[in-house]
Amino acid sequence: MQLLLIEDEIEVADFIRQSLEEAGHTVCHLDNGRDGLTQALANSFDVLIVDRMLPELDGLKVVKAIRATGNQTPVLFLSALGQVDERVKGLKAGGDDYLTKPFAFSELMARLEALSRRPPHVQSEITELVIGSLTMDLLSRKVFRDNREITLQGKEFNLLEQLLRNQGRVMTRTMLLENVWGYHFDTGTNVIDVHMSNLRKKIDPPGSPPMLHTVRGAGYKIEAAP
Amino acid sequence: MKQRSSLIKSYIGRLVFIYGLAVILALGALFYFRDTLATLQVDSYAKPLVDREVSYFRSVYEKRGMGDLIEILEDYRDQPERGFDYALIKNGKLVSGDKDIFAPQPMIFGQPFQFSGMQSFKVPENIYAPETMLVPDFIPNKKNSRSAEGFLEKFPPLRNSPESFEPEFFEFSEIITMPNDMISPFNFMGQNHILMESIYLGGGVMLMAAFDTRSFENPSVFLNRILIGLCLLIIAGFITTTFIGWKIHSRLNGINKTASDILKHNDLSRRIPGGSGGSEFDLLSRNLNNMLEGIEQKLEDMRQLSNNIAHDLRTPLTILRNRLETLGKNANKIEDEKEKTLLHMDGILETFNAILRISNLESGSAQLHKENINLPEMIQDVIDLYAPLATKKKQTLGHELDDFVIYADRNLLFQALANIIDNAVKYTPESGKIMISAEEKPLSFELYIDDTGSGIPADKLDKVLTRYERLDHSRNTSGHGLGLSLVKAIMDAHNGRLSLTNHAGGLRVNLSFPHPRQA
Repeated sequence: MQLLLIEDEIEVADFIRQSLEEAGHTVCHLDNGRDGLTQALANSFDVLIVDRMLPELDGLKVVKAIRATGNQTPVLFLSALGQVDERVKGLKAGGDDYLTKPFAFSELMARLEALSRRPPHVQSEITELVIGSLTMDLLSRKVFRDNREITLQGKEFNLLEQLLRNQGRVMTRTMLLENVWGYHFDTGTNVIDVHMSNLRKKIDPPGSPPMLHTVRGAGYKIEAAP
Repeated sequence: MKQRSSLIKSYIGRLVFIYGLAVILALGALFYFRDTLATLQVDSYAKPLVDREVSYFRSVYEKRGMGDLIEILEDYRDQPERGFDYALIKNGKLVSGDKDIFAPQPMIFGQPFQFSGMQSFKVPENIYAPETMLVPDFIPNKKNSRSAEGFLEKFPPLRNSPESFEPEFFEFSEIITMPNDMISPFNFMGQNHILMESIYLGGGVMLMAAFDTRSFENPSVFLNRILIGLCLLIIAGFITTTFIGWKIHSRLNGINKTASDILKHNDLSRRIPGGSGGSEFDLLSRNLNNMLEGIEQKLEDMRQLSNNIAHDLRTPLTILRNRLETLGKNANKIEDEKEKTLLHMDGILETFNAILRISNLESGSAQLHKENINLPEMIQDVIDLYAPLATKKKQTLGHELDDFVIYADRNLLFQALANIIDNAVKYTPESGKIMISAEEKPLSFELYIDDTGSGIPADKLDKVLTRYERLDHSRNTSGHGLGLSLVKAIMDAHNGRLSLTNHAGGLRVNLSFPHPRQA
């Protein structure tokens, strides 16, 4: 991925850049809003990582300016502001996702991947999600594994849908909660874990190769059984 | 005390000082202009009367002759209350009257003031030229007295021969102010004004008449009294102002002293004295005291918060440190340990986040994004979230709500409900029941979350809502103990109310929202 990081805190920036580069991505880092905006408009990136508070030009203004030119590159806001309304402001300004510091690198990575591969407005046309022997019919809301129907609760269906739409990629617990429930809130991690363990019991019956995987320290992902 | 002596240096002291200066200037100006005023009065009141007298004399002389005029003049002079003197001169010789035209007696408060050495005009013995007639040498040494020389220079005699005497008289009228040494320092009470008239009656006869104008100067005396009154008023005003200034100064001093004491001793518990009455200063004292109270409360909250953060984070941080220290000692379990450590770290961040969010909500700096929310739908979402956990504990989790729309911040409200259900699931024993119900009241909308847990001992019901308070028996249950505090903060931010009661053998959490009709 080609990433642009606009972040004035050197330590955070170095950490993010180093980790992203280790993961095989190219990172261009700038430490102020003005230069960041210039760079974002001059080159093409997969995702922009923009800090909320920046010298020279505030992060919100940077993103508003980028959007004003018609540039639709996904933007992930970073912010140390744990305020309830900051998230809304960031998304209203044209951000696509919002991450509050401190965050786990795995969370950042998962969100960047989700943003970079977000297909542009074609999701609604998909009526069927398939991975290996698992099929999900979005119209009839039915799920089959090895041609055997699996009965899922409402939220279980949604959770699985999220995983299938992002198959092969890690979904963090927070991402799952946000996407399935549609609320932004804090909760103990074990709440989602119970859902996932129920889901796993249903789609990975004993004896068949597991598809739903727990990624340590990060979240969950679904992969076709080898 | 230094503070008291600093009245002169103080702002009010300076104001009083400036006021004093203004008073002195005003008094000076009053006395300075008084003389001008008096002269003006003589001119406007006395002059017409004197003119009348003069034309009367003239007509007597013309119609009845010299003898009658002399009679009338003598009669006038002999009435002291008229304040009149004269010199009648014919062909340069005094025919009647005095050579010295007297300066009428000064008067004090309308009474003649007697003193020796009455000042007077001296009419020269041999008058050949009328110009020499007015030689006011009555106070020779005074600067403002006119010298004969000066007068003669101005009006040089035309001729001096008595034989061919055909004098050219010129008439004049003049107000003369007589500086009077005798009545000083009460000079301001009775300044002398004399109206000198020199009249040519024809046929070589000239009348010099001096009128004491003080009888016309009664308004001037009146003016003097007003002046005295004004003086007293101004002085009284000055004294009052000084007194008021001192009072204000001492009240402000009280406030200043408290403020500097607070700074000096770093003691916010001090309060400004007074403040029980209804005056502006009492109000100021009360407001400042209330402000201090608020600040003290906020500081106390902050102190409590930092204590609690320290208390709540110290243990987990210590454990975290130990974990990191021992990480990798057992090479087989390194991944396992790492995950545990990360989970632990997440817990710490969660606590930290909760503290931040509560502070944010409580300080009122958070902006709520309110919208209309269908409450049963949201509650169903919460139930969906916790259903697997409840099922695991064989608990019944459900609601019996009718459609109701509430105006609230959707993320915050969901957070509040999630926290309550989270608690309920946690503290309700296996096979228990958690039921959500609602009641619409005229002014509010009440939401009840009842569980069949052990409830909370009556004496601890209040304490639970205090931050970080977790009942001892629940210490072994996970969570940061901030859940209900966050709910309370969220409810407060929505003008709602959170209350806990023991109800039907369990705990009832009551969320009270203002009715949408009221909002």
